[in-house]
Amino acid sequence: MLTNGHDNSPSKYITLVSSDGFEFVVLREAAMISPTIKGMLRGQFAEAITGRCQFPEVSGVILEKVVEYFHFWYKNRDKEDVPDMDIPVELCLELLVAADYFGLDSKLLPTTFYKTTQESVVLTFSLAFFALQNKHEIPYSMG
Amino acid sequence: MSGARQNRAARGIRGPQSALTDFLASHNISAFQIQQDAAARRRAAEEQNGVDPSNQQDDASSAAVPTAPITAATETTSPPTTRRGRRVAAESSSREEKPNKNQKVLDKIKASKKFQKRKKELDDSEDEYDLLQAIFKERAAPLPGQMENCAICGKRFTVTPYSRNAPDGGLVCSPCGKELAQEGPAPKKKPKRTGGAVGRRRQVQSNILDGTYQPGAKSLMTLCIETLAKNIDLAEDLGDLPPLVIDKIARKLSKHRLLDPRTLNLFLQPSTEEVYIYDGSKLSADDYIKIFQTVPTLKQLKIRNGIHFKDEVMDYLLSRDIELEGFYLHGANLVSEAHWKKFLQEKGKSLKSLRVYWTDKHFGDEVLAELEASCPSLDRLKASHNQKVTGEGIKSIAKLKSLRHLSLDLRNHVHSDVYVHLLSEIGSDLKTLSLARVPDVDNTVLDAIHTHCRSLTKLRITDSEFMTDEGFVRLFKGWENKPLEIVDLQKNRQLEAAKPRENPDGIGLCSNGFRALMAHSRKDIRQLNVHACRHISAAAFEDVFAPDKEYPELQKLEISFCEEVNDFIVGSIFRSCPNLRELNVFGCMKVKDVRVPRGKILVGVPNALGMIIEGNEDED
Repeated sequence: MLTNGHDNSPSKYITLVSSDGFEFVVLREAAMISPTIKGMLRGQFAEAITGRCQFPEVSGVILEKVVEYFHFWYKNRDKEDVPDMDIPVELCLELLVAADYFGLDSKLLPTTFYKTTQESVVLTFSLAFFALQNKHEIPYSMG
Repeated sequence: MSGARQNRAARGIRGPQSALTDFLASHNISAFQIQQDAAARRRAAEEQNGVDPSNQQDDASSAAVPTAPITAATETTSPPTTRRGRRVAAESSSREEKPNKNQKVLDKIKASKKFQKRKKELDDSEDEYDLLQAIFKERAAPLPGQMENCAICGKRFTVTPYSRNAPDGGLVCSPCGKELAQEGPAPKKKPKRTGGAVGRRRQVQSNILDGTYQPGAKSLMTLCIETLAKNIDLAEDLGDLPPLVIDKIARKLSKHRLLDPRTLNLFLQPSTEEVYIYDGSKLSADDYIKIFQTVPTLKQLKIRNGIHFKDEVMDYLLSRDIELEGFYLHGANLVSEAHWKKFLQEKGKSLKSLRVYWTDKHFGDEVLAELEASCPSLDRLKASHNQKVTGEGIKSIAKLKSLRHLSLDLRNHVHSDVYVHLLSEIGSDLKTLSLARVPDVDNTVLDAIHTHCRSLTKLRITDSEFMTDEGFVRLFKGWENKPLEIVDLQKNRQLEAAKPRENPDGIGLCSNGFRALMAHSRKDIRQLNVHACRHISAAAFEDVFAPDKEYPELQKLEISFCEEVNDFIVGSIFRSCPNLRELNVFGCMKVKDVRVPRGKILVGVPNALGMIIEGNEDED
């Protein structure tokens, strides 16, 4: 579905689907900080083939924040002294559960994958980072 | 008639002035006015006392006599009849006539920083005029220390620097001022101070020292926990979070000293098996009892700073059906020896881990003697800073065959033979051996470890002044123990103030011992601490971290106060330890200009710059 038009290499983007049907298009590299998503995309699972991950336990509001964090992390991945991302107090506990579910723990060492080109960074931020669409397919194709 | 002439006339009437009056006048204090005020007060007091009111003429004459000006601003105004009238006159004159001097004052105000600053907040010119008037009035107001009538209630009061302005001019007394403050809008919150560039850099350095530093954004979990800790008052219930997360929240709360009887409830869920309290200093005995009331399935209990964990709490625990497997108690001085014994006798069967820290009197040899009979499955024992534990207690520990992890940090001197006996009895199965602060212990203990220990993964011996390099070589050479994972041999060194660099007897962990250690544990060593082992030579470091040697698991290395460490050695360490996270080099004065590979942390470089990270984000 979201494969790169020219060859069979996987798309730079993946789609995350929340329990209430919201879809988020996320830069693959950014989403890979989550060991859970990384595991889903490894091997020959349906998710790995289609680039589409369903999260029936996570609501759209929470998934939106998680996706925001993915990009926040990606943007700041080797900056020093990063300002804290704003966490809405009312979502705090639910987000904590989600953070645990996605494995976004502090033990994580994000220094392990740095291979990124300047181009992909520009791409991410010139495009809207994530499309928030209810029960729609993504209107634009990547690649 | 100008005010100036009037003043001159007033002075003229009174004749020549004394030097003091002149001096006071130059400081805006009028002796005449003080006199007048005193007379007026006296009169007022007499009136209140029911004495016949003083004659009108006197009043009128005193009021008619113009007083010397209080402030520079009023100096040029037309003659006021009363003090109140004078201020009104000052206002009107400044608004309508604007004599030269007044204009000068106004110009001065316009140029002042205060005016400019406040002007920025306004935009139309009318407001500007009002502002000018307000500041003018402010300056015209009496100085601190003088008396004034309150603009609201009319009472007399002493003006202080804190006296507030009334909404329509004049000052108010402190009771009215308080009311005004309550009515008025809450003062704007100051924007959060970030501490500037220096403060932020300091924060980064502080995080490095805390070991919580990592480049890039904080993890989502950390962000959430921090938000939660800030708003813990709003939390009613933590819900169904996994124990690991709950533990992290508990740590964060304790760090901010937020754990109190209210927040404790968040951690007491009937179904949980673990309660970890990292700072119990705000909890009372009743709160501890509440833990046992609400968590009947409790298995692991950890309490730090548990000052109020007393006998009555212990009694309650004994009366319940709770069978603890892990018990960690820090700072509980009020539990008596008898209660410790009773606890072990009644609840010791299930106990697998017992850790007791910082007790003065009541956790001693007799309690340790109880362990053999009462705790058949004790696996982990830690006694730290317990003043009453001596060699006798260690002899009782030697009888605990089930023990796998033993940590001792005792206050009393214990002879090496006691440790040798301990190791010969239970050393073969020990996985952890930690003997912290053992200044008297010598090579015989090292030899005993060599002979008896076969399954150690963690070894700590610190502060020995008798162990020698030869002893360490004998320990590690040909030792049938598998490679160690965590080694802490800090401060095993010669203490000789007169000739600190000479070490003819090879006391402490020196070059050869270090080589032998690293050769033995190369494969698995994860953490190494050789803090202040001063006699490890540069050659030994270079041998150990030579290009052909790799320490694949080493993550944390502490080589502070090893004098010989230099830039080359630090560079070699980074080369030989691919997974190193943190390297401490406090007091290594030969470390000057090291490039730190990305993702690694170097702490304690002796210059103000801190660490310099090599490479940029495009490099791998």
